[in-house]
Amino acid sequence: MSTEIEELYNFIYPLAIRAGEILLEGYERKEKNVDIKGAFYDVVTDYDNKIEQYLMGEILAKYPQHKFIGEEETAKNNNVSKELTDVPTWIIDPIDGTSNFIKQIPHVSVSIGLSINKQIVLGIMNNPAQGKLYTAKLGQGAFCNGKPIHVSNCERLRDANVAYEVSLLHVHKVANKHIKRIYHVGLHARRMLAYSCVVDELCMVAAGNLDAFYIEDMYPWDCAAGSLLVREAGGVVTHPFGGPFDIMKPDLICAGTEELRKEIENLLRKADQEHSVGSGEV
Amino acid sequence: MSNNTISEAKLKEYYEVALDLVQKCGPMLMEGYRKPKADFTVKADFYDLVTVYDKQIEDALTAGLQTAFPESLIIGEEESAATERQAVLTDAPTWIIDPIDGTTNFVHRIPHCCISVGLTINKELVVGIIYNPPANELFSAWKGHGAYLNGQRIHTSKVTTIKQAVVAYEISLIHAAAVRDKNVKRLYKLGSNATATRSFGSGALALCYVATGQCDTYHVEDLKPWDIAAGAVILTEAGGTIYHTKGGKFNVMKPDLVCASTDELAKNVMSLIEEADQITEYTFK
Repeated sequence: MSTEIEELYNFIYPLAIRAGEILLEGYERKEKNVDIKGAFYDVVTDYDNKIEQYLMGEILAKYPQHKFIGEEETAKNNNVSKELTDVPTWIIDPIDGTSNFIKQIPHVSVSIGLSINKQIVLGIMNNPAQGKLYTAKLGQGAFCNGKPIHVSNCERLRDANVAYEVSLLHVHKVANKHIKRIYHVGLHARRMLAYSCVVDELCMVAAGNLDAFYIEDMYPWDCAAGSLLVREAGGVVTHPFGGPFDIMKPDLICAGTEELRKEIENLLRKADQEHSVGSGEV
Repeated sequence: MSNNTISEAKLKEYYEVALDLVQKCGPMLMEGYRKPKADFTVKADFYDLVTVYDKQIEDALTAGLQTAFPESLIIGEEESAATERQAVLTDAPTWIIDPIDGTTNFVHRIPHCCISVGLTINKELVVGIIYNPPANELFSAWKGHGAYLNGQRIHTSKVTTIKQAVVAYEISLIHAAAVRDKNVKRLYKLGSNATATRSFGSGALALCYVATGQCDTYHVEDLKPWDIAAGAVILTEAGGTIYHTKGGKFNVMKPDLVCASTDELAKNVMSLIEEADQITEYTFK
């Protein structure tokens, strides 16, 4: 198995570099800065498609039996599926952090994960805006630009940098849920930060820049590679309420330590039990 | 007319000397940034950190600026903390210095930390320099001459409504009990109406990101002069607007502010803040 992973890693590595170059080309284009929705969204779709087609094309040329996890709309061929099987399956996000891509905020990433027998065995994430290439193979540690990385050993939220997807406040259905959770976790964390690039935030936990990260309602391709990287960097990844992390429904808390992860879980539960954010409460 | 009428040539001299001194402090900051295990002390509040590099950088800037310009005064973060003196702004040329803004980012090696140096003359902000060495970003501006990032001209976006806007907001402002409710309600109001929300952990850089158009608006209160002085110059020279939260003139010594890419957006944000302040029932439907 490990020679298979090694071969697949060596194959995908230069493709991940090239995909990052394409992403950077789109990222650096100035004329995007007109309207964050509408016409400018076409630029995103353009590069998203370019990168996806590039990677899928190269992979299928060499491994025609391999599968991809994707959305129904992209299931133009038999290799794309909505279900994970034992067959080698690529779980790819061509551009994570699309608002950042448009606004030129340097938290954007191509994310490439590979699952064999329903287990993520390799992950490569490329943030070309910051020149950071994160890599991991199952059982072989985590790296950034070839140097080993490790999660932090922070155990208490009061010492911690955590990230939260604060932008979700604009989704009215879940705004109340999130303002309560932001309140309870943000109150106790040394810093709560928000970058709106799940892939990059997972990498930041793996590298110890963030001590913990929580996210829900993402797609498999947002979290597959990153979840491997965090574990290979020594961290913990679970469902927000403590159960196992599920690649296909990747709600998660990840952290450098179980103590910190648990402290956040307890605060999420506390927040959910409240009707509203109270005045002056701790 | 006040006492100090500064010539363009003199202002340019202040700007160029400061720019040079700030850049010379880059390696000092990077030395601390690269350390595998960061050394820091927690200040009075658990969420406020300081390192030896804060003091080193402030000392270097103070010495350099006072040697070059003995007529100038300094308001610096670390010196103010040490003396517990409430700074008063006079007409004299005054450097307002934050040696490291975004210290929690600095100790975690997140490239959103910076050295911030602003200059006032006759109580007016005239020079702003912000240097983020880990990201290789040098923002600079002097009055009437535009704003620059690494020598390239920068300008705010053209966003006019909150619906199209990326809002920068420091979530961690909710720590202080006295301003907690205010910040939760305002964060909710702005975040739920905006296209997106970002929290970078550096007030000085948030102002720069509005100046470049990466963000479109930033609202913050209860910070200190040195967090805001330099960024305010960079932002206005980049075509942005900055007001006191309630709409009047912004005051660098008590910098409660709304800033934005356009006047229209600033007014939109100010009216949403007024709405937020009226909220009494916290269940947001």
